[in-house]
Amino acid sequence: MDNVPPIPAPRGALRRALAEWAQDEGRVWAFVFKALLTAFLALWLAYRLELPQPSTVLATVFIVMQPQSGQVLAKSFYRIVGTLLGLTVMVPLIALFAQERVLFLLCLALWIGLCTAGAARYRDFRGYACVLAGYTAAMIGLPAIAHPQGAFMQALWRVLEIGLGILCSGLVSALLLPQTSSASLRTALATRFRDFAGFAAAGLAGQLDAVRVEQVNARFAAEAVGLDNLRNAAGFEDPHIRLRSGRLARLNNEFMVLTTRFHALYQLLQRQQGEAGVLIRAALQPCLDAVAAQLAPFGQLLADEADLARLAERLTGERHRLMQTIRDGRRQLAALDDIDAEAALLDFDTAAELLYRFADDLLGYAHTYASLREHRHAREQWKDSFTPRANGLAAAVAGMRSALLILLLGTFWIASAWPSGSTFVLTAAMVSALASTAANPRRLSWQLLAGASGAALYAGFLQFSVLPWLDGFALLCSALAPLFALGAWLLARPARTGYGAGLLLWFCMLGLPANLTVFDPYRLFNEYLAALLSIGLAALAATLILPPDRPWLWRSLERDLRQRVVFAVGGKLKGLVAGFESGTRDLFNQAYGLAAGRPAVQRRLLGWLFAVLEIGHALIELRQEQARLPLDACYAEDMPWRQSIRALGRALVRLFIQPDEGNRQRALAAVEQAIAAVRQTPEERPPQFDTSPLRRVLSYLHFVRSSLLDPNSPLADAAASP
Amino acid sequence: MPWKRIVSVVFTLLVFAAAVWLVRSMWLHYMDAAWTRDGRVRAEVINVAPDVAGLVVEVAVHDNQTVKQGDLLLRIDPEHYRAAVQEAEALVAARQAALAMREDNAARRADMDERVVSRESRNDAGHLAARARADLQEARAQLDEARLNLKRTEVRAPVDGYVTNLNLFAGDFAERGEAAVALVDSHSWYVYGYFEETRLPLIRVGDKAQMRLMSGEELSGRVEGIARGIYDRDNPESRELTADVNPTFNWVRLAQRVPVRIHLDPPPEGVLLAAGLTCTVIITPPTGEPRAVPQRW
Amino acid sequence: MPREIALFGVYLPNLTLLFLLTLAGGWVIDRLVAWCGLYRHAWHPTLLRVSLFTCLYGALVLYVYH
Repeated sequence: MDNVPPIPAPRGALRRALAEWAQDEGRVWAFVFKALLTAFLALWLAYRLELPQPSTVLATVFIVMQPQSGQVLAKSFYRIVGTLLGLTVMVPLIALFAQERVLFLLCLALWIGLCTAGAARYRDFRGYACVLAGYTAAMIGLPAIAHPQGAFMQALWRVLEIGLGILCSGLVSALLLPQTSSASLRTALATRFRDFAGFAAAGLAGQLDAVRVEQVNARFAAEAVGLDNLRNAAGFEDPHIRLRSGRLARLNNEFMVLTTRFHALYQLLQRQQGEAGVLIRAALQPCLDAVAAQLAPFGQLLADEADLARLAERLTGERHRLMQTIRDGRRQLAALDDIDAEAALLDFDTAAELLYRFADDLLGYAHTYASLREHRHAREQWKDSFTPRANGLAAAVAGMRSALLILLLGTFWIASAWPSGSTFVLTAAMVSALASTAANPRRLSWQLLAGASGAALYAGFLQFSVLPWLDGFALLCSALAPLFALGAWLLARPARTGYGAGLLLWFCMLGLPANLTVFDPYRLFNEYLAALLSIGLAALAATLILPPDRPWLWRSLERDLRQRVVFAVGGKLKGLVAGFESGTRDLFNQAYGLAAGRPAVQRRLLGWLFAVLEIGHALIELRQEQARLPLDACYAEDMPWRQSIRALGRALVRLFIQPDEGNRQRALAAVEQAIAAVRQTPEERPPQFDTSPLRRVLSYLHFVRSSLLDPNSPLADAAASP
Repeated sequence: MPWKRIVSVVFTLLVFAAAVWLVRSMWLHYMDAAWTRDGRVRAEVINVAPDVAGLVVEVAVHDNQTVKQGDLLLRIDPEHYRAAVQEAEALVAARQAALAMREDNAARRADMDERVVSRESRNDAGHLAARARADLQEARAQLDEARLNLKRTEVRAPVDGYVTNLNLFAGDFAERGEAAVALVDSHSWYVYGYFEETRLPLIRVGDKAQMRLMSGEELSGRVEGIARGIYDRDNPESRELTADVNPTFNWVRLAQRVPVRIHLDPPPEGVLLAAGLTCTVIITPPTGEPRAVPQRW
Repeated sequence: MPREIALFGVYLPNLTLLFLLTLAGGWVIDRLVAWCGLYRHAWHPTLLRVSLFTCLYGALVLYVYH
């Protein structure tokens, strides 16, 4: 991990300005330069090797071209997988339906619909493989309708062309001025921990406002999803990351648990209102301060593994002191006689336990982070994985939309016998697949349309005004360079990727001259007409046929989010924490992205995220606690307290499936009953949470109760407005 | 730390230099050696055509049969030609008789006095006899031709070789001069290697050549000749016999391929050659030392 | 050594086959070197990895062809 050169401290204003430029704009220009180099290298090789379609080579180059080399390699890998998959499906289909193009088109539409649905379902690199499986199938299958006898050779040529494009872009992006994914992974980890440390220290000191809590939590959820993608990409590029892959996944999971725990603690502290609340907080404050004091210095600096190792060391030493402080606070609170001691102590115990566990989680995180220094480490043994969750309905709608589109355009093609019909259908397949991976398919489709229009204009200009004057490869490159540079520059800006992709892809596919240029204006017009019309129709379809940024989808996603509680109650205990934390955040992240521009909806979603995470996590802890119980009579399966906890689980499942006042009251009654049942169970252990399981169970139950009672929770909202 | 860094940089660069050197030698080995994957085994294929027309009464060979020079391939119905011979014989006999008569007449007149026969009549008799002699010669020639035709009803192999793709059967009608049997000359094997123009300077007539068939057998031979012309694809002739030059040109120029003819040494025992087989051709100068590559850039 | 090989009736240059072979072998060696932690001492690890792979490939090709 120490192979990244340290950034030298710049001296002087000019050097600092230069360094800043290199950090920001410089990266973009390096990317543009690399894209140009890759494109020309690939184009020259394609001409030199006499490949039949240099356009496929360049289209591949621009499809996989990304600023970070790890992403290029990951995309390349999945591009190959997708291509081979598409090929494997297409060749038997051509063999079966070579004469029956209606049936063939029907199968093709079905396959593309499946692929698009898959792309919408997996939004990581696997989704990308789905996009390309559909695209390759269309690319090979559509020309085969006209010439089935040459289909197999054509398919092999396409695979060779794609391979060449991938080879060129992989080599250039990894060797020249590399911007590694592993470096940005390290930066992302360090930045995230710095932000969290600052945030948590402020929270423990009671200096947070609600807006910041929401913003930071939404960002953490998004980063958890992004970091897992980054980890996958970096694994393709750096063998050291691959050796640490398990630890990095574990780190991400531990971070999610850490934020959930902190939020639970924070919420519990926020709920301590009134006179009793002030007293409880006063008793707790020394404990909170002890943990905050450890975290505070990390809010200022980008810590590395050594710093985290020191933190781990200090936390280990601090644990006993923290326990002592907690007991002191408890004694102090018990001595007061002007409050309801029983309830106050329960609140105090719950909060103290959460704090203690938070410190424990922090220690685990620090250990895992510090272990990244080592090449091999016992913490690498981590089986649980990040499980992305997506809304099946949204994926199905995306798949249906593109299948319908393909069928419609294909019918038009067959009916009109348009020579450019295959471009018409192919473009639609590509646009709908590309759009389905995007957060906002509608916007991406329109951006692609704008980009492709630019490509059409430039291609016409090039073919009729520039190319006839040129002779030789160098001049051709200089004529192509402005377009490629503009496209790559747009590609490097996340908000304008669509323009860049449209410009580059549709220029390369339709406007790129072959080695022996054929000047055919009719063909050019026809092809671009087909492509633009097709992108326009795909964009219209994305806008009109159940567009995903509408209430139906985020309501459905909200329902999925609530269903996570059902998963927490019923899922298999092994790997449950990782699956719950990652899946819930992934779902939330999608819904949050789709609701962009609607703060009210976003706040509501965030509320549900908190409610689901708090209660779900408490339920999982309850289940884990019960699974670890020693073999005593008071812990037996048929004891009343265990039965009442099972009843509570059922009540909560009902509540989260159908959040209304009646269900909330029932759940509250169930939790009260469970608390009473636990209290009435005799236990032969000292009643402290590090020794007594029932104590801990009681804390979790109390926490569930407090969050059911929270007036700011969306559960209360749902109850108020049935 | 700086030392470690210097060592690591130097090490990486060393490995990189080694990689560059290896790629360079690989490139030289692959691109600047006189070899091609595009070689074809070829042979002289004789299109045997009957010299006379007629019904085929017998095909004496079967497909893919090995034949020696002079072996019977097919027999055309000889009846017509036998009759023609008889006719010609009869004609000869008639002409002989006529000649005898004319000669007798001429001799008789020549012996007579000028007062008995006119000089004219005597001269005429002599000329008529000469003409009858010429007629006889004509008839004899016709007889020879008829006999030759009769003999040619048996079509024989002109060379040692293999009958291939036999598509003629007893009962077919064979036209004169129309190819009926393809015969691959078994002494005429050679190889055409299509070499890129960039490699031509590495090849001279007389160089040793090694061929490898797709099935793995090795053949050897030597360069017999290099073609001095290939078709210019950028300049086909228009219908008015003027040049029809392509207005565009390749962005990246590609090397054309020129055929190089290689004479084959007798193939090793058990190697089955067939015209049209694919092979790889590697050419080495007789000394074994590779030729210097001309500077291209 | 033959310069190409017929595989299921497709005439492949040996270079292709050797490339696939090197890809498999190179991957194993790459994992091994990474496991030993040697890349962390390299200056430009990607360059080193690509160069190593190329060396392997070049050596194999030249050995096979000579």
